[in-house]
Amino acid sequence: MTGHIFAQQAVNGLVLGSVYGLIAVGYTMVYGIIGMINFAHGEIYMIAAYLTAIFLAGLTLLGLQSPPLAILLVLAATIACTALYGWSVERIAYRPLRHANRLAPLISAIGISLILQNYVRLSQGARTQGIPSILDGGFHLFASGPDAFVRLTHAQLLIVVTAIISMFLLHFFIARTAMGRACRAVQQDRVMASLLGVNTDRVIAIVFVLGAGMAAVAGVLVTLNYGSFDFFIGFVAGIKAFTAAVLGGIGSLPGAMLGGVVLGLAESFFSGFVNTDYKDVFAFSLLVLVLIFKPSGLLGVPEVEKV
Amino acid sequence: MKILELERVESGYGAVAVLRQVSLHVNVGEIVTLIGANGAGKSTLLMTLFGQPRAVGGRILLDGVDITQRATHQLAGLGMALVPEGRRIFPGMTVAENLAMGAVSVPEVAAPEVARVLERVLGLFPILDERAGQRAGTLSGGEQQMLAIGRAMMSRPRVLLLDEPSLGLAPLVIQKIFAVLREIAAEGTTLFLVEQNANQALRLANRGYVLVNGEIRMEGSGEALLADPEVRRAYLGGH
Repeated sequence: MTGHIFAQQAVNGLVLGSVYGLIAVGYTMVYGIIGMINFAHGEIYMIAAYLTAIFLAGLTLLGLQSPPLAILLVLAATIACTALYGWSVERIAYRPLRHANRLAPLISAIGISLILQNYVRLSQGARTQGIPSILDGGFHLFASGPDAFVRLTHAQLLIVVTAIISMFLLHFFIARTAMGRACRAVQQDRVMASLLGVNTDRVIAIVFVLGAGMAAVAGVLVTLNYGSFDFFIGFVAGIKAFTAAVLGGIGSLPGAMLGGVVLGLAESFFSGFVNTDYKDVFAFSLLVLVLIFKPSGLLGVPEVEKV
Repeated sequence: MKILELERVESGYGAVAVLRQVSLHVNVGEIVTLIGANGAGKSTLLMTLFGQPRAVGGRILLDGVDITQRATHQLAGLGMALVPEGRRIFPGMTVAENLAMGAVSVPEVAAPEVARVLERVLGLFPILDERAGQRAGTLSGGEQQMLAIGRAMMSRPRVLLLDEPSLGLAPLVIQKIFAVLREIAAEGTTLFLVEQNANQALRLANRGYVLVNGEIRMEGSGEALLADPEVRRAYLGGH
């Protein structure tokens, strides 16, 4: 029986962690390339949730019946729109302040975050919204009795699988393509990259777009799974994902994913075995401990550089 | 014919003026050196050519075209390449990736040409071929310098600018690097070499300039400057 609860919490934690990881990637990439925390990133996730509902409603109106096709179309459309939001945030809040005092872009990003929240509140209403579930059912794993099984819903499976595919694609882009190489060059030495002919403004914009796209994947998946959202969900999700990014080592892509999974599992086990009310306290305590004993995060390595 | 020309260029960092009315030129096919003490503004001069920092006065001409206000990232494509102070290789990338970054300004259509240049670079520095898959941050100082020069060559520059390529290297490595520079120059690439190691630089160069406190104090042929008593006293440790 305890074994089943344990396994169930592991499944739940993995699902939660995948979502944190997807959002954390955006924080870690933007931090890696311009050394700043994009405080508007959580709102991008929130907007993706609303877009999911809007596109899903639109497709239903058009008479689309097949859930897999609907999910695929919603995912593509949401990523495209959200990428535009990510690009705009960089263009409006960051690029004009590229050579300003370090605090200035931080404050303008907080401003953008408030603007996006209130823009959604005004245009969509302040109430919690919902969509009907289009992904019902699931599997009963390790079933050994009427109450002894581990439940994995189709939506949860979709979250984990999509998260893994997205991370793989992102990793491929960064590690293997010429554009990804340019991203890494800008991250390691922005001035040198521009001396060699890299348009750094374009690379930074692409990083914002990629981060927004990953947050969009998270937004779509969570909305399909839970079905409800409001204009404020970006705040908590953002803080948690930011924590995951720092936990894994900010600036490191695998670190963001690992940090997300560790945070998700920690929260899930703590809720399952100790207390649900204090799960956030536990999650943030974990962060404090990691930062005390390994300040660069789990996978963050101080750069080796010979002079 | 002048490939690079500075006309009364002024530059600096914020309120701090570093270069004052600097005028100099480099002819096609020449090796020109700029010598000067620490803090004279040599590195600032090279970086100003690339708009980092941007010149606040005067003009910079490449092939007679004013490039003073061009965006930094557009300049590599015009035929200038810099081996910067401190090498500035990308430490987290492999040697091969660093070299590939050197060719980002080359348009896609010239891909076969890039492959030929890469072969040439690896021929000049065989150690880079051996270390192709290794992280550049793990190379020794001399190897990093070779990588920085190789990376700059990847864009097939017509004028190669070098900022103290001998700094901090063993005499044997310096000799090897200068031998390669001679070879590159012999193939027709114009060199503009900034050095504190004035002896070596002036022996290599056709002409030289002396920069003192952000101003050009002297100019002349390499031999003339080598023989000049003032230059000998200030930069060559002579008496």
